[in-house]
Amino acid sequence: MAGKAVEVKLYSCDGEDFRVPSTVASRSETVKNMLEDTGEEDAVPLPNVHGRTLSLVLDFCKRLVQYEKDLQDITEDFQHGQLDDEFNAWKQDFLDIDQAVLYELIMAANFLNVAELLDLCCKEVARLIKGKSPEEIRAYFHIKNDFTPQEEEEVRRENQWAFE
Amino acid sequence: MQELPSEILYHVLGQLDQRSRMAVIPLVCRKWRALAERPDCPLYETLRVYDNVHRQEIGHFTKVLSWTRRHGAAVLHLHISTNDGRQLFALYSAEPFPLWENLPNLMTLSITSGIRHGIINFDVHDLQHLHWADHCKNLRHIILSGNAGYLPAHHIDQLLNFLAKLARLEGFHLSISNVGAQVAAPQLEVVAHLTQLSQLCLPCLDIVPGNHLSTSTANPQGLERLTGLTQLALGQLNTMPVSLAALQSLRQLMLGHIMNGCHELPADLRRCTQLSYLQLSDWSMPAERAWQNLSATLQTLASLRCLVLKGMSFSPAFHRIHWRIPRQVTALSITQSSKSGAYFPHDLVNHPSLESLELSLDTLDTLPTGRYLSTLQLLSLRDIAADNFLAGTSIRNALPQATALRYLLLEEGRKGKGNIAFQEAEAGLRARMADGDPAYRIMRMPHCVNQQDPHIELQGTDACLWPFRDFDWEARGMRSRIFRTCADEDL
Repeated sequence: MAGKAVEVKLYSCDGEDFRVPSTVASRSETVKNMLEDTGEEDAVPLPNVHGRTLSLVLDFCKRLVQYEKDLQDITEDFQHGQLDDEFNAWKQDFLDIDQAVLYELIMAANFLNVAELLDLCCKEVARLIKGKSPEEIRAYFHIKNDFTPQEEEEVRRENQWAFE
Repeated sequence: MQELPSEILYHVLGQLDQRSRMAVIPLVCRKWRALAERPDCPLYETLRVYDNVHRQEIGHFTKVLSWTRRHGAAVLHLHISTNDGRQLFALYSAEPFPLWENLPNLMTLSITSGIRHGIINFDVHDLQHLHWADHCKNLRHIILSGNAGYLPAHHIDQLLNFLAKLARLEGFHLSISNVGAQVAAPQLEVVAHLTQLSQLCLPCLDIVPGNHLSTSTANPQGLERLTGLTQLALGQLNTMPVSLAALQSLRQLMLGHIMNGCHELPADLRRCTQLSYLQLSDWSMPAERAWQNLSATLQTLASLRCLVLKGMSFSPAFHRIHWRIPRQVTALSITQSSKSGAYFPHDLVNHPSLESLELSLDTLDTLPTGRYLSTLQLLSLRDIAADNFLAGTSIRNALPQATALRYLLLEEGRKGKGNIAFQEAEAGLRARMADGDPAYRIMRMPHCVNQQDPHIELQGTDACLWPFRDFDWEARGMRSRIFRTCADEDL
């Protein structure tokens, strides 16, 4: 029998510390590499990640590990779809966050190198962009229109065929 | 949003459809515009230009041209689809033609052109005017379909020049398909100039004897010089065109609708010892000897793994011979046989290693039990009329023996009574299975002729289970969309 899962300690930039099983922490390639370098006993400092974001990242990793474990355990093919549905529903709830938090999460997922989370968040942002005009995108994401009217007209002319 | 690094923004923006990527992203702000204009911008790797409106004005492609000035370097795959070749013609007849200069990194060029009622077509011979080979050094794959693939015999010199350019390129893939009937006879011997070509697809070429090619030259001598060819698809030829003796590296061969010239395979097929995929479609072989030869030839092809017989007429002569599916075949598809010639390969019942089996049930409502079931991983039943499907007991008896089965694909038949009846049949099947839900996934496909939206997908490694290339000259496309991974390597 395998012993109790090894716990590792992670520090966020604001000094918050998190204890998680190393299987969960290792979903971050960055953390995984650090653990391999320093060993699992040492606390891992993550100076680029705020505590509240790290907590979200770890929530995701835990759920992901759980999902993959469940996949291993199933005996019937049809259960696969069921697990997918559950995980997708969980992701929906998970993404019910402010835009600002979503960006922090993207940056953290990028720094910590959690491919699944980065992909999920990027898809979410793309979902927010989809179907919007340039004006609506600027308004929604608080992007300043820094084109001169002439420039804007020029770009519009160049890309005109795509509108047809 | 604006603080996100470029590679992440690309990741986000890459999720959008082409229209948004082109028409919206560059218009948001300077930063986004700059991202869109980088020569390594991943957003425009694949560019699709559609123009399927009956419009008279010329100008759409001029706009495309203007767009490529800024973004062309990022384009690797260009797909043009038009039903009016005039627009393209107007564009490339303007000298100098700058499109190729704007697309220095192009790898794939696909042109599909539609109706040709009184319009000037975008012809293959015109491609050679364009000096594309001087600019697009990486171009390795040209696909011309519809009337874009029209091979005009009277421009044979230009065509030869064009093909000579291709011939210098290693690993080139040329696909010319769906050329309308009754166009000028193609000069198949020109393929002699394509000695480097590794794949050739010429379905639906129409050789008209006495028009441009005499019967004797209709056998394209060119093909035998393509000694490096690994895939060959020929269709709607009215005479068996090929001497296969030289094509010894051939791995995939598809011969469809050989009309009346020849009723049997070339005897030298047995020289293609590396052949692993053979598809014969729409053939009738009335002679007993022809079937015997086919059967004997198949036994000698040691590498053969996938055999597809589609729309074959299993004549009375066939039933008189001792027909055996080769034991080395692991994937077998027999579909759309004529009603009078329905056939279940009964010798398969003891086949030791069949993994994939496809049958159409409009002509066949029996699925015998036997050893072959125990190795099956994919079973595809096509053209199912729901009523028969439920009534047939053989299916219910056979399926519990298919212990290794992972996918059961059911395709609603033309005569099906729509989705409701089909759902009932499917539900009935589930209900009658011995222990509730079976271990395999039951997937339903709409009939491929009428439906465009696939409801199911096999992805990743599962797609390997689908060995049958769908080369239905008319209704193809549907299956390749479903089995997306396979479609990538489709001709």
